[in-house]
Amino acid sequence: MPDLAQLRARIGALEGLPSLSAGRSAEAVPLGVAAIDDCLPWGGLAAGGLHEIRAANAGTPGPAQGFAAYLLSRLARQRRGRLLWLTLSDHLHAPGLAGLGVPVERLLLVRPPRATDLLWAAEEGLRCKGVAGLLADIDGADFRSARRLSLAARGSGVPGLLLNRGAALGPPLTRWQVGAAPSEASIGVGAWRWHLALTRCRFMAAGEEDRALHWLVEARHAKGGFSLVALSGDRSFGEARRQAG
Amino acid sequence: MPYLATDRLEKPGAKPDEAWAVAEAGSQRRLVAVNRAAERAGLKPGMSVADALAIRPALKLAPHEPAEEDALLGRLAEWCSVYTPFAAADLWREGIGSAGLWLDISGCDHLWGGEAALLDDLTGRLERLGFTVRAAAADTPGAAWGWARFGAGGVMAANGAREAVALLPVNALRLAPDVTLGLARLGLRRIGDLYPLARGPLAARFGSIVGRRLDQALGGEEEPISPLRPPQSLQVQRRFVTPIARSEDVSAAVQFLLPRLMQLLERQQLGVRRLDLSVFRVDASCKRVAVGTSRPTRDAAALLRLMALQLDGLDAGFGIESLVLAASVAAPLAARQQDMEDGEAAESLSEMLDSLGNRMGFGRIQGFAPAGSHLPERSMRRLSVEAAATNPPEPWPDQRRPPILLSRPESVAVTAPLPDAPPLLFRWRQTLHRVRRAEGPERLEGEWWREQAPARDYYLVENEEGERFWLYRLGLPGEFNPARWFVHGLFA
Repeated sequence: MPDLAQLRARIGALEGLPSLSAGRSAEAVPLGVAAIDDCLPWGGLAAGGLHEIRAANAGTPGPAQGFAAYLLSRLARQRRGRLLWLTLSDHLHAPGLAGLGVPVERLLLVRPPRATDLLWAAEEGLRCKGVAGLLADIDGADFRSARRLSLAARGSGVPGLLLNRGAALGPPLTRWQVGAAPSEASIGVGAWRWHLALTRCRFMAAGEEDRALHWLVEARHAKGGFSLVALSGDRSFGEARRQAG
Repeated sequence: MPYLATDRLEKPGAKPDEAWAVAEAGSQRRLVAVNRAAERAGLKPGMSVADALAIRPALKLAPHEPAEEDALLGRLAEWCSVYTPFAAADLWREGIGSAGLWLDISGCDHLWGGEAALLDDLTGRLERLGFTVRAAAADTPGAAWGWARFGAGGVMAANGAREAVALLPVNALRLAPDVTLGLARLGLRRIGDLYPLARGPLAARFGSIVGRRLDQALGGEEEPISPLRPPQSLQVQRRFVTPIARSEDVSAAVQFLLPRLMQLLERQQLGVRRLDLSVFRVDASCKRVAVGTSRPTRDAAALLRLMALQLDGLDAGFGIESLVLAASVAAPLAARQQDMEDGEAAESLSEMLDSLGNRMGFGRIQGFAPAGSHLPERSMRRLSVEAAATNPPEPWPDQRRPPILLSRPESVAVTAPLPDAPPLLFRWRQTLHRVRRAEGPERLEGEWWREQAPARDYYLVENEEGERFWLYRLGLPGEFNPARWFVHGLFA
């Protein structure tokens, strides 16, 4: 009887999903936070798939957007090409994005006139091999559109981040929920802190699927860039995976 | 086109003896143009409507619509660019003689088998469309104008303008009615009568116009025809013996033309930035389709895909007889890409941006660069796609700035213990926020060279949930009573 990991890898291959090879996949982009990367089956954010990011509180879009920008900066660090940010709003502030580590000179903002155009543009962008990473600011998407985006990303190997304000999507590889957390500092406002929850992840071990993993992370200006540090969190899944594997 | 005003209105297949006239509106209604049947009945432009109806009770009248006529003439001129790139509408309104079309056919006539054949083709096509046409070809636009309207028409012998127009009335010189009337009073009725006269007294009496028109007709003075659009050297054309209508045929023809255009461009080391497809339809109308690209390209396959998107909605009308594909904007493009792998990724990127830009407009794709202002709303510049591709990385200021900046700062009600202290409480979008931590103030003065704006004191505040806001107080403490506060940005 083949063991569970092999079986999953075969199913994944049949589905055309990013491969779950032994150890870290070359196509994965690590988040740079060991505690979180260890919990992800790819050892990081899988390229060629969709990753959904949601705000824990709809009235506070900042932390989710900040985390998405951070992920985009990680994609830019490892992959060549342009970054695309698709949004209907016009409140994106480049100096703030630069402060979150996004290489703004590689960023192109796309502002489609309507939500349907945005989904179309996202699909075009995800198909394009010259894109290092794509972030789409969406308000939900019907199953078919989401599926199309997922197929486009899979075909080209471009990672797609969906900053979603609407209903949860069906096909993403991972789903993150980000909320604000009070900062710590002796004076003034400290480094940004976020409550990060991984509420969905393909290839989670059986029984783990419904359980979210939580971390409290802090964003820090590190030498030569910007990084996240996990202050506390859940490591049980990583251990469980190692046992299962 | 002597009967343009009435030809426009008559239905094809109408009885030839049906009299039509176009009349001005207003109290003194006068005829502006009449058709051939009305002319035979003795009606003339300038006659009052009442007189005309007395002569010919069955006369059909239509309102005078100069703008419509001009538009029609413009469309016809555009269609005439099948014959020559230099085609223009002649909107002659003064005096005797009617509006028409100008075509500079020098260097083009041999494509049609000579000037006479070209004229035959042109008049034949326009007549089939129901227009009465008188055409003339001559050495100068001035001579051709007179020859078509007052002479025999047709092709005037080369260098024969002087003899040919000598017998034409002075009206044929494109002169205003008062000038021709004045000339007639002096007994100068034919153009030939003007030849022996000294220019000086003529100019003193009528202005320089008479001499100029004479020179223009006889070739003494160059008169260029200003074309509707600049001629394109970077263009290829395909004509169809049988008009085509299906969109598959059109895209097949474009597919045939594109590589040829690319060859032209490659020879000059140019790439397309804007591609124009002109579709000439059998009903003498012309339709244009354009696609733009974010950077110069010679990739026929990519251009074909872009063009195909635009061709979807193309109305072929009664059929298309000719297609002209032109690189209306071209830019230098070296012969080969250096790095193969990078080249491929860059190629796919620019292709994707082109398809986005052509559907939504290139203005909707932008890059960012720091701007020299310390004011948040002016601290970044938006770059076009091209500029963003070549813009070098520039350092961004090192202060903490929010990634979300509200396009309009939103006014909030604030409780602050002291006028210059950070707030304790504020209410924004119906939610009360208790401030737990705050940082500031960071004072940003208005730009003195722009306007007299009060300084703003910015605070970074964090509420009990850890949500972080960028608030500012307008003006110096005590300047406004009570102080006015705004939320300007949201931090991550």
